[in-house]
Amino acid sequence: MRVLDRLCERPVGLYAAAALRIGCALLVLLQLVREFPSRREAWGPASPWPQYVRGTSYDRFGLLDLSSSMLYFELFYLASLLVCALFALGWHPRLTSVLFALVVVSFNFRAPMMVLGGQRMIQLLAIYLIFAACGQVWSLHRSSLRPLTIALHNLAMFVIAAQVCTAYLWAGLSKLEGPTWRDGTALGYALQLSNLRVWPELSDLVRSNGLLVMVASYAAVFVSASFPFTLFSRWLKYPALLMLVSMHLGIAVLMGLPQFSAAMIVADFVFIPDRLWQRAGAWVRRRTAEGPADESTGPSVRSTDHTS
Amino acid sequence: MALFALVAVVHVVLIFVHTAPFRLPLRAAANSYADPYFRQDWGLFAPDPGTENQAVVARLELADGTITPWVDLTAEDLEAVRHSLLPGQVPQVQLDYALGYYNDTHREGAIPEDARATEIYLGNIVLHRLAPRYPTPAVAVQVKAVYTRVVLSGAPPPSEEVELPWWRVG
Repeated sequence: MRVLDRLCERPVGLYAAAALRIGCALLVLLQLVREFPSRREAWGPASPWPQYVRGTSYDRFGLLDLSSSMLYFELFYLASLLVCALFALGWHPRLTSVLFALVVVSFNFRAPMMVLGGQRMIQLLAIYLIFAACGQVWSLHRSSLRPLTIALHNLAMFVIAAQVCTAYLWAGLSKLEGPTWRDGTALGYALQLSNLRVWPELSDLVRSNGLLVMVASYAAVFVSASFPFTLFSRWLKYPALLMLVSMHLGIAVLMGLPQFSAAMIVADFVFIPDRLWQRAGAWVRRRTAEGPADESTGPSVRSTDHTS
Repeated sequence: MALFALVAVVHVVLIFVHTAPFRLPLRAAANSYADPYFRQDWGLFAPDPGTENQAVVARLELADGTITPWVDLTAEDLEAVRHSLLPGQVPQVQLDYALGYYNDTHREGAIPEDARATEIYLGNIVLHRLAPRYPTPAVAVQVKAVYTRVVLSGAPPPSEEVELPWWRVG
């Protein structure tokens, strides 16, 4: 079939894959550094959720359930920090992508009742990235691109895009049934939920403006439900992405969920085409090129050389 | 190659069904496929954002028979995350989600093992936080859940308090 031949010809979105790799790895790294002081209470062998509870709906066996020794936990934590750093750098990306997914899954499995939406998204992306050629650019090591790896990469990028679209579509449509989303007051309630009020002064400021609350409530539903359909048009896609990013920045501050927002913004990277990433990369290099320009790790337009 | 493409398409369809806010055909199959690696729920603030605030207040019974005063642990958590650019995950969600899971697993038709597990979990969190504050070891914990309705304007109605049973430690 012609479609299947096309699948193996040219890898699509090598830059997006690399951006997803770096974004996910840095987010988990930041998270692990941030939680370092409370790591034992969150995921340690004696943390409140017992290791590997059998017979419940929450049976999860990850690498952190292998041993109840504190030394093992501490070593695993340090190794996880290292894995995140190496994956971000693109050190043997085939190997580190698998290790990274194992790390992410193991932490989520160890504390299944603490997993935030953003961590769930990172887990999905980490698993899909195993199959993507995420170390072809902006990476210490590169692996050869054979037809099979190209096909797997393209399928992985398709699955990531579909996954993110599914999330936005259902996040938007599932609100249609709710009376508060229908009358535009939902945000007024959300801004009063005490566990989301990290910046209460800001929450109250927004809440005091009834019109803003209504517009933002309707916009949140509309933007997220309609996002998958805007991808078919170049003219709609970028404004929609901008609106999503602004929505997430709002969530980061007004709902006190920066981890979630950052993970969703990273997930959106899958929709940015290579030429935009190249322009962004070139811009960053221009801004940082004080010393002699080092092109050895810079992006090369390799992606078009594999059509042979 | 065709096989990989087929796997990818089937995966996407099953995830679509698994996350749909209404029952699509193959829902049960999709759920068991997605669990645990691809399990996800995008019904964020849906169908409505929560319309009540919950707080976990707790006390201990110590080995010498003393009952400690009630402590509002949620208030401590809120204090810990307030004005934080990167709120800590433990104060932000651990206790709050634990009470949510406890309530979810103590409804009609819930699995008894799940109810037991969430009870141990909630009890452990409270114990880990409160026990180090007293010189005598604790023999039992009690949790009081306080629910306050959120209203758009005016004063909120009085809170509803639910005292959970004492749980033995150990």
